Amino acid sequence: MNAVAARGFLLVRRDGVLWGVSNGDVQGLTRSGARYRLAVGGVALGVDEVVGVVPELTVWPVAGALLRFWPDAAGGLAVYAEAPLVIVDPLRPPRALRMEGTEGEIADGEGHC
Amino acid sequence: MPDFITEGGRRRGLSAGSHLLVQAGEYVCALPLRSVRRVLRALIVHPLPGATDELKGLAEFGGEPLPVLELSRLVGAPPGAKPLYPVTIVVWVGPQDNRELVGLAADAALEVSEVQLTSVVAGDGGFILGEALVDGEVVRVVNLEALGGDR
Repeated sequence: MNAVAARGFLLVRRDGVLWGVSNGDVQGLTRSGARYRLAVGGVALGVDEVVGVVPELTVWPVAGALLRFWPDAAGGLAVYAEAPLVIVDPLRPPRALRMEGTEGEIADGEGHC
Repeated sequence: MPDFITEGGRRRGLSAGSHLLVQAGEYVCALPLRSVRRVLRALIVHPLPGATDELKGLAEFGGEPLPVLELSRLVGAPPGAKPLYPVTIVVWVGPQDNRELVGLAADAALEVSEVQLTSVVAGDGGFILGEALVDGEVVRVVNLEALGGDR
């Protein structure tokens, strides 16, 4: 598998799982109670913790064997501080990160999605 | 562990029939040795939300992310006793021209043994190539090429 070096990622954690979002894909980050609301690809995602920002990650394509057993979407895989993480695909934000009780779409100022 | 020495003391070497026998629940599984890259003490695995039971999660191996699959789930083995020395076996899966690394979580690595592939019977045509007798014990011979990305 060919890995590529990519620059600038926001690292977040949800339910113990580490996720990476390319800085350019982050549309918004706000506090929401004890958690954070992250906007990516027009979708509101909920995360437990903002781990930090890293200048570069080596990103591997998602292994086919992984896709067989994991139905969610991902833009790649990486490792940070010896921990594996999943890169968020802004075109297919993962279901596992969506805000509970909604489909996750970001409403406009008039409350429309 | 591996025993490549014949009774006469000469080195026997590996063959197409060389398999690593591992304990997975109540089953003994045979993994083709040419596809085994490393046997490690069980890696720390980070579960992924929404994963099926076969996928234990992601681990780090040599600085790279590694999907780890539960071998006993893959072969449908009944659960065994709590393993004393669980292992992660890093293997190549998928077709030769598009292979990838995955980890297989197993209860123990047992030994390297010869499995006569002509004696393998009752395979499902998929991940389990079939069953064979090794030293009088039934082992499930695993087809790692069938574990690649395409369903």
